[in-house]
Amino acid sequence: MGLKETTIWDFKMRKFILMITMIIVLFIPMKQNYVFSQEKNDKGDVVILYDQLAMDTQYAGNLIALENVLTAQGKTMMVLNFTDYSQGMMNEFSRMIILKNSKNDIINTELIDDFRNYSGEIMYIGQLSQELIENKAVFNGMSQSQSSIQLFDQNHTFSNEIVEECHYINENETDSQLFIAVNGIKHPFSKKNETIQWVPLFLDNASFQICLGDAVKTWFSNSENNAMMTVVIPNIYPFSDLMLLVETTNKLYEYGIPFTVGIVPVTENIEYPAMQNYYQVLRYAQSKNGSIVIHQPDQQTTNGIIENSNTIIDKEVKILIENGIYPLGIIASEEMLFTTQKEDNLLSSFSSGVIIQNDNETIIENKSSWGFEKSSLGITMQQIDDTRSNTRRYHNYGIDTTIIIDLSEDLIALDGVIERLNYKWMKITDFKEIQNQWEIGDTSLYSDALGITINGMGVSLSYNDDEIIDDYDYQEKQQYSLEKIFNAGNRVLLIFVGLIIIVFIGILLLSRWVYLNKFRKKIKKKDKEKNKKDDNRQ
Amino acid sequence: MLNEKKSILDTQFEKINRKNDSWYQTIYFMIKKYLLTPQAIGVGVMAGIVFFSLFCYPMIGMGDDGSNREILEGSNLYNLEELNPKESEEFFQKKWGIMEYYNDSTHKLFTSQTIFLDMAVSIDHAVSQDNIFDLRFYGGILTILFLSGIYFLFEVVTSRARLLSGYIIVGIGLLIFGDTAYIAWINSFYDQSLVCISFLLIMVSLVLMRDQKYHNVLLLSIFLVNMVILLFANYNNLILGVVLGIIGIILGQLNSLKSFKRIAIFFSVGMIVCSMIGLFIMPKNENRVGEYNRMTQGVLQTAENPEQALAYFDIDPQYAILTNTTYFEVLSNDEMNSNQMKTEFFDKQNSFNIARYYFENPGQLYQMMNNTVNQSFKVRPYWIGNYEKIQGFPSGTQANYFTFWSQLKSKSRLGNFGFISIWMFIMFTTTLLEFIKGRKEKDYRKMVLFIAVIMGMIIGLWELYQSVITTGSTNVIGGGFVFSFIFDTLTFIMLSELIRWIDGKMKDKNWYLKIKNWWIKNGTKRNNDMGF
Repeated sequence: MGLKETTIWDFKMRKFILMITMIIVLFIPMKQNYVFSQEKNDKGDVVILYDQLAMDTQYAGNLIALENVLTAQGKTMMVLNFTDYSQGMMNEFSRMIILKNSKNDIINTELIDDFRNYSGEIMYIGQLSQELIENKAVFNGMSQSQSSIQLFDQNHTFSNEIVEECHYINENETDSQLFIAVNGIKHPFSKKNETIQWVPLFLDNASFQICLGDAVKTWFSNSENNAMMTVVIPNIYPFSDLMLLVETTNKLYEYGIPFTVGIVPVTENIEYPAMQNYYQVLRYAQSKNGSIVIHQPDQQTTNGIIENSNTIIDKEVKILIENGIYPLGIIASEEMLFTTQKEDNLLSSFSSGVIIQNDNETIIENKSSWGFEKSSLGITMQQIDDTRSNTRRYHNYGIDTTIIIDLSEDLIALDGVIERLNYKWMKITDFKEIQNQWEIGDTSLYSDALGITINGMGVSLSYNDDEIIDDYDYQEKQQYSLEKIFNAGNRVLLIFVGLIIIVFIGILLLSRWVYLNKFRKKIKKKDKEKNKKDDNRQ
Repeated sequence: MLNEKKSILDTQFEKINRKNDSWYQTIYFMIKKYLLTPQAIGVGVMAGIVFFSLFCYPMIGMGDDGSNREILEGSNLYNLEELNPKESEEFFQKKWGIMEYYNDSTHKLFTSQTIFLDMAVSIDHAVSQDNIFDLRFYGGILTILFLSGIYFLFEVVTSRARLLSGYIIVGIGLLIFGDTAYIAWINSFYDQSLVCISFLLIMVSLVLMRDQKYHNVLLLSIFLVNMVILLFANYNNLILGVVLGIIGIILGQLNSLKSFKRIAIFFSVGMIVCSMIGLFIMPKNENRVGEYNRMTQGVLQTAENPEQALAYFDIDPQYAILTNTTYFEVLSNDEMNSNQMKTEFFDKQNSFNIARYYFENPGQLYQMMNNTVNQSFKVRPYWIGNYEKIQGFPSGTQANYFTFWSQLKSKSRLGNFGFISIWMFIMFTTTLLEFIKGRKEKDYRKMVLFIAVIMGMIIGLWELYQSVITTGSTNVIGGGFVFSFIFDTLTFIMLSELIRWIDGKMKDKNWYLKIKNWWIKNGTKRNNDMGF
C-alpha cells in the first residue's frame, strides 16, 4: 500500500517536474524572441558598441564608415560608447556589432556580463578583447606591423595599401568569398565561430566599406546577389555650369548609360528667368534617360535646420512637379539619418536614398538612426578605377553602390570619366526602375520599369524647348516707412540748398560789382553840379 | 537764508571744521568733489550695468559670424569649434583656444586690436595657466577704456551745467550708452567695439579742449593715441587718417605753446603719411560673408535687373537666383568654398568695382544707404545671439533688459537717409554759429565743437558707405553699428547743450521760482479745498 502510494506520488511528481521543465524550455526562448521582435522596430536593426574613435590612428573615421555601410543597406542602428553602456541595453537588439579600435581593457562590467550572456548574432570588428572573448585562440588571429594589404571579393581585386598594424586571420582555407592579402598571402576577411563573426581589420576607405558591406549583407541573412549600381551627378545648382551638364547628359545618353542628377533645393527667386532656364536643362536631362534626386538641405544652412528643411522640401517638390521635373529620391549623409527624427522629417517620405560620405565632423554622442527603404553607398569614380575586375565585364559590387561623377571638372576630364565608365561594360541600373515612391501633401509619386506616375497618372518625360520670358519684372517697388515725410524733407533740403546757391551767386555777383566799382571813376554829386556849371559857363 | 539751504553734510562739515579735524575734512572734500558729482555717479552706475551684464551669469556677448578668424589668428587664438558656424552666430562663445605651437597660418592679421588682444591673452594665461582664452579678459580691457570714455563724455556734457540738469543729462546718457545692445559688443572680437570706444575718446578729448578742464597736452595725447587705434583697427579706416590728421593740425592752434603746436603738427602729418602707406601695405580683411552679402543683399537686391547687374561684373547671370539670400541661408559651406564659387563669383567682385558700380548707379546707392541706416538703427543684427548655449536660452536669443534706447531707435521708423540728412543739417547749422563767432574773435576753442561734429559726420558717413561697399546693407556688423554709435554720441552731446541752454534760460527768466510759487499756491489751495 505504502509502496503503491509512493509510486503514484513519485509518478505525479515526475510528471509535474517534466511539465515545469517543458514549460521553462518552451517559454524562455519565446520570451527572448518576443523581446527582440517587439523592440526591433523601435530601437533599430542593430546596436553598435565602440570603445573609442582612435582619431590619431589608422582607425580614425572607421565608426562613421561603418555607419555608412549600414545606412547604405537601409539598416537602422543605435550607436553607444562602451562607457555609456548600462545593463540590458544590448538585449533589446537581436544583432550587435562591436567595434574595438584599441587594445585597452574594458572596464564596464555590465557590458562584459551582458556580452557573455548575449544570445543574438554578434559581429566583432577590430582587436579581440580577453574580457569579451575568453577563447581568443579559436579565431586564430595574428598581427603584423607595416604590412602591404589588398582586399578581394568574388569578382574584384581592390587596390593595395600599406597599414601600420594589420590584424588578420591566420588561415588559408575558407569558404568565404572575401579575402585580405597580407604581404601577398591571402587570408579570409572574416571568420565565424558560433554566434560571433570576427572582422579583424576595418579602415575608413571605400574598399573596406564594400567588403564589409558584403559581409554585413550575408550576416543579415541576405544571400541575394542582385546588387545594383547607379550613376549620379551631384551638387547641381541653378548656377552650375549648365552647358557642361547638357554636354555630359548628351554623352551619357549616347553611350546608353542611365544617370541621375542630384539637385540642391533652391526655393528662392523661382520666377526668375535664370530659374526657368535651370528647369529647362533638368527637363532636358530627364528626356535623355536621366533621373532626378534631391540633396538633403545642408544642415549647416538656415534652410537646412529641420523646421525649415521640411518647408524647403515641400516647396521644392511642388515647384519641381509644376515644372515637369520628377524627383525620385534623396541624396543624404548618414549624419542626417542620426541627427533628425524620422517622424518629423519630410525626407523620410522618400523610399530611396543615396548615402554619401559625411562632409562634417563626427558628432560624438550616443545616437539612433532611421533609414530609407532602399539605399546605396556613394563611391567615387576613382574607386572604380582603382579596382580591377576579374573578368572583362566589370561586375557590380556585393552591395548597392552609386558612382559619383563630379561636374566641377572640365569637359575634357568629364569626357574621360564617361569613356572609362563606358569601357568597363558595367551594368548601370536606371534609377527610375528601382521602385521609388513618396507621398508629400496631396502628391504621390511612384516609379518602376514602366515609368513614373504622379497620383496614379503616368507622366511624359519628353522635352519641349519652351521660350523663357526675358522681360521679367524683377523688383516690386519697395515701401519705405514715412517715405513721404522724408521725401518732403529732402525736397525742403534741396530747396534750401538751391536758395543758398542762388544767394551765393548773388553775393558773388554783388561782390564782383563792388570790386569793379573800386576801379570806376566816381564823380560825386557836388562835382557833377560843379562840372555842369563849368560847362554852362563855357 | 543761506544756512537753511545748506545740506546736512555741510552742517556736519562746519562742526568738523570747528574742531579742526583735517582728515575728516579731506575725506569730505574728496567725496563731494569727486564722488558726488553727476559724472562720477553716472560712471559708477554704468560700471555696475557693464559688470552685471558682461561678467556675471547669465553673461552676454555677441555671437561670432566667422569674420574675426584672421584677427584671432594674428593673436594666436583659434575657434574651439564647440559650435557649428550657424550656432556660432546664434550663441556667444566665451572660450577660445590659445595656440600652443608656432603659428604659421597664412590668415594672420595684425591691427591695433591685436595689441589689446595680446594683452588680454597674456593676462588670461598668467591667471589661468591653461590654453583656453576667456573672452571676458579682452572685454575687461575694453570695459576700462569704455568707462574712461564715458567718464570724459559725462565731463563734457555736465561742464557748465547746474547740478539738476547735470543729473538729467547723465541719466539720459546712461539710457543711451548703458543699453545692453551696445554693451554686448564689448564681449566680442569685432573691431567695431574698439573703433567705437576710440571714437568716443577722440570726440571727448576734442570737446574737452573747449572747456579747459584738463591739461591740453593730456587731451592731445588721448586724441593722437586713439586716432592711431581707430585708423589701424581696420583697413577701411585708414583713409580717415587724412581727415583726422587735418583736425590734429587745427588742434595745434589751440595752445600758444610752440612745443604743443610742433607736437600736434608732427604727429598729425605723421599720421597722414602712415595712413597713406598703410593703405598699400596693410592686408584687406575682407571676408566671404561680407563679400557674399554685399553682392546678394546689396547690388542684386537693389538692381532693377539682377542679371544685367551681374553682367556688369562679368558674373554668370544664373547667379541672379541668389538675390536677397544671406550667406548661411542656401549654400553649404563646401559649395561656398568650392573652386567654382571662387573663380566664378567671389574673384569677380571687389570693393573697387562695387564702388564704381554704385557711382554709376546713384539711385541704388541711395536706396542702399537708406537700408543701411535703417539696419544700423537696430543696433544688433537680429541673427546674432547674446547668450551662451550652455545657459539654455533658445538659438539667437538677445538680451532684452535695459534696452529702452535701442528699442526706441529701432521702432522709431526714423532710420532712413532722409532723416539723417536733416539731422546732419541741424547739427551743422547749430554748431556753425559758434564756429563763426570763434572765427571772428579768433578764439579757436569756440570752433572745436563744430570741428568735432564735422569729424563725427565724416567718420559716420564713411562707415556707412563702407558698410554698403564691403558687407551689403543687412550686415550691421560692418560700419552700420559704428554709424549708429556716432549718431548717438553726437546727438547726446547736442542734446546736453540744448538742456543746458534751456536750463540757463529758465534760470535767467526766474521760471523755476515762478513754477515753485505756482506750485505752493495751487498746492495750498488744493489742500484747503480738500479740507486739510
